[in-house]
Amino acid sequence: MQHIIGIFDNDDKVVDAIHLLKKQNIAIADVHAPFGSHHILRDLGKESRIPYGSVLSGAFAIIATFSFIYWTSVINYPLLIGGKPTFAFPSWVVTIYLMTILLTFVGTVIIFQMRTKMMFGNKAPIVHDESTDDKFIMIIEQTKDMTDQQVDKIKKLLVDQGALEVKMQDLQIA
Amino acid sequence: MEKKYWQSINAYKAQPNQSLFEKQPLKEFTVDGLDESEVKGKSSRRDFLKSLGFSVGAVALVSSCQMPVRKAIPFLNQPEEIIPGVANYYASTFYDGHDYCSILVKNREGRPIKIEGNELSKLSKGGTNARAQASVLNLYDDARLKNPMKDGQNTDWETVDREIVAKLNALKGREGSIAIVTGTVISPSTTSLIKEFVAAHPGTEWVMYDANAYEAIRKAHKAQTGEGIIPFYQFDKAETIVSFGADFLGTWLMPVTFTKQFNTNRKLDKDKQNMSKLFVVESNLSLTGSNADERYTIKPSEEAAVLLDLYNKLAARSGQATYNGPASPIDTSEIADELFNARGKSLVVCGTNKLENQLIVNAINYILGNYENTLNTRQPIMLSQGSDEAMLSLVQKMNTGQIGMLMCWNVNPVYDHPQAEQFIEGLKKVDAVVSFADRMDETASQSTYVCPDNNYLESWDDAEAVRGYYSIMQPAIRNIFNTRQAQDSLLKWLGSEQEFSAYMEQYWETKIFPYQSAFAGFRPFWTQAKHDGLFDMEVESTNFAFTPIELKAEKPSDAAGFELVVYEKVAIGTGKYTNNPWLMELPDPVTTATWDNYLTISIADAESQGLLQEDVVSFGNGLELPLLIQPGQAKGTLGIAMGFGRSGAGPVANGIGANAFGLMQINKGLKVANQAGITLENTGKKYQLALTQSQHTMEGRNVVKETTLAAFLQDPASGNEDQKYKEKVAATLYPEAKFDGFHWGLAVDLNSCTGCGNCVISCQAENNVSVVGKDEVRRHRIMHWMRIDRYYSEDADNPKVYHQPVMCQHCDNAPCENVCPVAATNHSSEGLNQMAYNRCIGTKYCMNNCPYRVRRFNWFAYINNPKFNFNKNSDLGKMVLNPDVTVRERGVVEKCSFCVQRIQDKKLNAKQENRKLEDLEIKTACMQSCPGDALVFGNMNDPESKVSLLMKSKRRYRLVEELHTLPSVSYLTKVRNTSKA
Amino acid sequence: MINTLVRGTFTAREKSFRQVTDDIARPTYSNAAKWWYVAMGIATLMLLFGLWAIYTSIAVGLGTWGLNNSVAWGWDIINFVWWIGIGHAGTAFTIFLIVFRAKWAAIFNRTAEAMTVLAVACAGLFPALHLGRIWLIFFILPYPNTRGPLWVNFNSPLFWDVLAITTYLTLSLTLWYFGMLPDLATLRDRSKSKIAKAVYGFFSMGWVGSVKNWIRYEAMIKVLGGLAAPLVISVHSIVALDFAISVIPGWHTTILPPYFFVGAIFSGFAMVMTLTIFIRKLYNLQDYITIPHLESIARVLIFGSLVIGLAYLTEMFVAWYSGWEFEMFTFLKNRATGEYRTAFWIMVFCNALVPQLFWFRKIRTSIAWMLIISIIINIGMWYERFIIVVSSLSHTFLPATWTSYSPTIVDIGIYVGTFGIFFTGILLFLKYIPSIAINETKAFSKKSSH
Repeated sequence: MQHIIGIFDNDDKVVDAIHLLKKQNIAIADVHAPFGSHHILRDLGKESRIPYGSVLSGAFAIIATFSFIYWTSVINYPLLIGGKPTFAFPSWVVTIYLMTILLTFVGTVIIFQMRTKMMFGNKAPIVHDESTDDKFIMIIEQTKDMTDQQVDKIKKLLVDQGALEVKMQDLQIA
Repeated sequence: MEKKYWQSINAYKAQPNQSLFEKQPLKEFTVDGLDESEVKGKSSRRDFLKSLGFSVGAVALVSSCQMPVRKAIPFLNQPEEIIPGVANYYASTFYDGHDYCSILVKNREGRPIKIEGNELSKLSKGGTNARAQASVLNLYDDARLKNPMKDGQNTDWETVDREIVAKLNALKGREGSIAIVTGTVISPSTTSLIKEFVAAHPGTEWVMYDANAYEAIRKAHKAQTGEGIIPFYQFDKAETIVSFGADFLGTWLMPVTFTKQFNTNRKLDKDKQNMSKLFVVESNLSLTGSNADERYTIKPSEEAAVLLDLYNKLAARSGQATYNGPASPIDTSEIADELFNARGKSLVVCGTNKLENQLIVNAINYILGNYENTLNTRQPIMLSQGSDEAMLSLVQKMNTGQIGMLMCWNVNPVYDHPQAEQFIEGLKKVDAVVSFADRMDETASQSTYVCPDNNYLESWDDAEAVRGYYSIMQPAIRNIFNTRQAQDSLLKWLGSEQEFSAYMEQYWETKIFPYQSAFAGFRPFWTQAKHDGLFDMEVESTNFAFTPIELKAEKPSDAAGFELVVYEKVAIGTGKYTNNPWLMELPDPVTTATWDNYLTISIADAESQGLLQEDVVSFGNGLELPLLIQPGQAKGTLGIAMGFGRSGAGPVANGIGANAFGLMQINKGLKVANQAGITLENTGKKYQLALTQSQHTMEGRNVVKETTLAAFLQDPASGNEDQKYKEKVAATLYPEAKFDGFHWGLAVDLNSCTGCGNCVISCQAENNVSVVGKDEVRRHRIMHWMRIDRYYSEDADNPKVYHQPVMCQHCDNAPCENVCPVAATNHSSEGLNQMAYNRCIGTKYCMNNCPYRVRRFNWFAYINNPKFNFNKNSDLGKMVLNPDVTVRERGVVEKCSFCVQRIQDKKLNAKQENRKLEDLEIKTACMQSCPGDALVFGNMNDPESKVSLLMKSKRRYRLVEELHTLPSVSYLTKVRNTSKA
Repeated sequence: MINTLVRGTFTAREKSFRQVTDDIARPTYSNAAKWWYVAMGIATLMLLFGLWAIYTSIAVGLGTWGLNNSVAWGWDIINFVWWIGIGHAGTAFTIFLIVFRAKWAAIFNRTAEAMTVLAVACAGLFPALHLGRIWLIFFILPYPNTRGPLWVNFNSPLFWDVLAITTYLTLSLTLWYFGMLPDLATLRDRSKSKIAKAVYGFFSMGWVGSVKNWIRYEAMIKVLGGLAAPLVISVHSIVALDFAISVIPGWHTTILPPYFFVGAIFSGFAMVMTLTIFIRKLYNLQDYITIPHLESIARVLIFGSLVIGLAYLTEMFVAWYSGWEFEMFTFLKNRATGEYRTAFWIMVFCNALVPQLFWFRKIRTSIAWMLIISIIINIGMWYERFIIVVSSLSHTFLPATWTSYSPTIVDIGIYVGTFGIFFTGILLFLKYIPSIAINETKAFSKKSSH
């Protein structure tokens, strides 16, 4: 699919371009940036649902850990230890607490990797090989109903906003 | 029912109740245990899976674990009295020429593994001492001779017999050319045999010789009563006891018997509110001194003056003749008062081998009317019959070449004679020296022939330690090596075909059987005697007449320098046990030192001489030893233990310490263990002693609680007042654990514990506790499961001493259990704090969190490790291991288990016999052997059990009660019978 | 949001993004300097010494250590706690950065986290090695087994400890790694060598820097940072429970968990100070790690020192106030005036007194002073752990069981060996990974991102 690619060297200029494009209801497919510029992210208006996943992981961790300790220490193999009853809840708190952190943590990372489909050894679909260094790449999809005129207009807008280079490129973006 | 012990198949068959057969477990391969298909010989799919599982498992097992290949030879015909897994007990006697004890030998699968006290004995009453406990390890000593030797070369018995008989025949013409030197023989049948031998070789001289002698007592009685006896002291009948350097609780004559006796008069409970009072006057701080109510320190040379002063005070009161003597360095009036008040119920004993001192002691006992009350002359002690004079004259004869053949049996004069050089010179002039030593000891290595004697556990013999009390020694195992009992050798050389067992039986039939009336025939009598291991005989009364003679006391020595006292250590005695690693590692009850010989010096003297602990000093004839500064050592005196400096005892003993026997002196034909005029020279070297304790005071803590008798009578809880408060404020988040079946507990009466250390060895033997060696002890890594803490208090020059046995306290709120991450230590439903060695990964956290520090870590592999070359390193030494107790691997924590294997054993017995477990039926190893009966084990849930009664005592307290660990071990306050608070 | 000022001038702000990348990532694509090889050689020797010591302890037994029946923990646990303390700084910086948005922390974050991972790995070695039977270490996991099945003891602080360390190591390693992800992508795209491209490519997980990447990434990092915040407090508190749960005087005190936490931050920051002083000099990063940055650490150290000093006083007071003889003995006699007084006063001097010098601006801004004082703090913190572990264990309730303790060559070897691990790790890190987060630096250097 054809995409309009704008290459910037300054994130302020990217932010301005985003504002203008948004005003004109032009969808921005993606922006590649060398660092997580909060303005770009905020202005694109996207949010992640990863924190919800984390909460679920945490809830699971608490229940699972408590049940496991209860089952092992009270039901499956109760032992007399140090004169305590087998259901010695206060001393389980630490374990439950730590397991909650650990499982939530691992859960969050797994969800992140699943959502971004990131894995060791994956090939990076790089659009511009300086986008991880000092270039900001703005990608706008040329939709089917988009006329050449509109494309030119967007290109001009990008150049006006200070893009170093604007070009068309055939990209496969999921 | 009275406990019956049987010895042999004959004895066993005579027993009516053959219940042991009922206990026989199922045979390993019986038809009963098999599936139907297996019986029929068909194999099912299940069998296939089973065998598959087995072969896979077996391969995994073989490849993953390095299973040592053992030479296990199954019994082709299983002896019917041996049931695998069930212990047999044989009654026997421990006697080594010095110590006596009636014992039971615990056998497992045909090997003796443990010595227990014989509770039927009226002398030792089930008690043992550390040496008796450890003697089982001597059986498995690699240093023992495995064959007869000639000129240091292995040979066979035929050669030895032929040559010795030829020599004996050749000497037949030369009267008086044969000499037999033995230790004290208390065996009537052996005595008879030796006399037969003497008769067959006329003029043969038989000399008894003791390494540590008490001959002066006999000589004094000879002079005053006409009978050269050692009376049988009755400490249980004495209310006031005065000991002048006689360590009767530790080493003197019959320590086990005396401790039993002494303690019957020290127990306090509701019914018994009085106890004896012990005065000790001595130079070294001995075990007895450490248990004294009042203790005085004097120099050895001052003893006669003190004794005479005491005598004069008493004689003046009772209107007897007084004698002039030097002034006493101490005030004896309190002793005199107490003795006088307890006339007929008092006892004065003295450990010094000087005739004049013993004469005064006898005179004191006489004017107090103690004879026939606390001194039994009708049934005297038969131990210590050696004669120093006879030995000295023999040495002279040897040196003049009169002796053609010398037999040394159970003696080692080359090592322990004060004039060893002359003895060695004499040996060279003897044509043939025959030694019966069990190892190449100092004397044996200078002998022509060594005919190794059996270990006592392989031998037949009898013993009469006190007139009328017989005890039988019988083999618990066949000879391990090609050795032969010395008596058998003598019989052989006499030309007799009889074995000594038969000889002994014959002797009993003719000489002892007639004195009893309970049995009509000899067979049943003999069976019973062997079964019990004992026979007590009525003794006719004698005409005892005491004739006072003039008493003298020599002036205290004014020689410059120190006065030295050679003493016997509780563990290693006169040196026979120096090669026993258990005993070498037993901490001295007073100094807590292991493995070493050292010179004890008083604090004041060390200061004035500018000497420090562990400074190596040279003294005497170039001996060099490290110093140990000993509180309670008399000023101006030094103490040195005998038994060290061996060169022929074996790898454990050789080269450790200095031989102190050379420091003994011959005084008027008696061997005296003192020497005056010793000067010390600092060599500038340092030597680290292997002490198990580095802090000697309680730091003001209530660890050992103590009170005086007077305070106790007013308030039984005196000294233990804080207990109530501590119990009141004790709080916990959780309810106290409940035990509905048994709840095992142990009570330790600190008033009965003398600190002798016997329990430590008993525990070590029972529980396969490793010996770790000197270096590891120095690093505070001793493995003993129970230790005896020793504290001093008050005057450092003459401190009060406390002994406190500490083993795992089996806390119901055990701090150690909480912290183990893998739950390797947890609580049993019977209140035992148990250790699963297999589960332990060795975090050592439990050790850190134990307030009592009773947990032990296997820092190294102590088994099969050449670096720890003690009993767990050779196939022979490992024979002593108790198969009921796991041998711990490197890296695991271990500790006292309350002898859980014994608990299980007795519980199973009771269950099999379908009855309730009786109180005191289960005895832990420490409790069984305790000569002081200080330890009581039992079920705390049973309100009538002895331990429960003790737990209710007002004297009862638990260690560090405020931690609320709820220990199952309790202590009872120590009560000292002293007027001084 | 807490508004933390970046103190002084942040020179990097004047640099272009390319310049920033080049400055920070230079070591990764240029040959290592001579000093690097020398340092690596020394570190390897230390590592070899450590390997020998570890081999000895496992093959011969723990008897080769200086422990005994009463002091069953010694240098092993002292060094374990010490390293865990060092390992606290990294995560603390991450929290400062992510949760409190303290921007100056970004400079230290990467190095501090690398330090954390290595220090926790070194620390984790000790509890493993101090096992009598290390080959059965898996017993500590609650896994289904054929022994009953027998599970673990959830009441044991040591179990909590293992869990805490594992969690902490997992967490700090993941945070460190994911924090590096964009920079690895940068290196992948910037490197010229094929191997470097392949390796960085493998580890960068296909990072492009797209908006979706960044949004999810930032969301995840925030969650992880949020989880790390309580953990950084609890890890050392749980280590402190190893002591506080016991009954031993000197260990059994409720003050230990907070006191350990502050002590850990204190020693961790001191170690970061020591290391960054070297790194900025050796890699010419003075423009990024500025004096004001280091000064910020110095201020934290003053705070830590005051808290630690207060904790020492509180312990003494409570011991006296309790009136309990064992507690009084441990603190007032054994530690302050008894056998361990030398170590005790070294500890007080190094931790409570010396850092007070940072009140003076001149000292606070002097590199030499900062280096000296930060090293003194780490020595002091070692002594603190020594005092806690050894003085308490050696003199407990029954005087007959009192012993003394001294380490052996094997104990020393393992400690030196962990330094070997730490320094080799740090040197490899400095060589192959940018020691400052490039993407963060770029983000903070732009006005627009404020």
